[in-house]
Amino acid sequence: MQSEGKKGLVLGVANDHSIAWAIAKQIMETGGECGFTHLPDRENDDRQRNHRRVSQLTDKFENAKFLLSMEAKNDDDIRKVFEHTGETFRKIEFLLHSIAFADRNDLSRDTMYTSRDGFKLAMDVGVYTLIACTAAAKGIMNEGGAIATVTYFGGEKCVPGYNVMGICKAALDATVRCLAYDMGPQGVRVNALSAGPVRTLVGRATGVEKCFRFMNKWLLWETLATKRSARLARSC
Amino acid sequence: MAPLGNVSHEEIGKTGAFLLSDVSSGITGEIMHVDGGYHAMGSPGRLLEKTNR
Repeated sequence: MQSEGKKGLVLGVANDHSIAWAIAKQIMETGGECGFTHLPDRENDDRQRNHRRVSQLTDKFENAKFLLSMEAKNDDDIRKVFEHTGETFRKIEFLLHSIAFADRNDLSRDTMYTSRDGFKLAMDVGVYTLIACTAAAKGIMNEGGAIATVTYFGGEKCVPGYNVMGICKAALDATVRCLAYDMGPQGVRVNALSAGPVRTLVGRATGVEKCFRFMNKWLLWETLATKRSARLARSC
Repeated sequence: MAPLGNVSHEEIGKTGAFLLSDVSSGITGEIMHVDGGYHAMGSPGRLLEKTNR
């Protein structure tokens, strides 16, 4: 099987619609072992919803070896997660980075009104974390290993509504190329997967859902129009 | 719009697993599209034909 005996870390599962989960599931079903992280919960929050949402998924898989909380903006948190990964797996063969964030307000107005803080935050979480995680993974990555991140077409062309995220994805794509150069001598590959519109948390915030709704409405209109013309044809 | 229409979570999962496995050992620095061919289009294509009908 294609992932038999492979061990690695998966960053960025939020729920069962997450792209990271789709990939991790495929890896585990073909024999790979994964460690996971989830968004941190507030300490005083009894429900621990972020943890629960991901553990509900990972608990069903024997090949899901651990689940840790990780705040992507915090270098200490990243270091701890990679230390734990090293202790559990010793060496890893893959790293999946599927992390991004943007302020909802910055997505709901024109790109030119993006706030300075919102820009920094989106760049920090969506782009810098790949750089930080690649550096952190360097020491525990086996030769022939691979790193992958998740990008989107909105970084190549203007996709209205994707706004500051598009700018971040363009930077992420460039980062992938630079990191591929850096990691090449170690025999580690760095690639990005550009997924088409699917229903995820980010999709909901950036207008993919709206796009789906438009398509559905259009298809409905199309069906009704076809029925109407068929009726007309019969009556003639 | 996309030549193949929408893609499924499973299709994205399979490509991700591919990029993280030895099967893709010759690929690095690549932006791989799993979007049913959407990125290859410069026009709404068949969608446009249907609206103009």
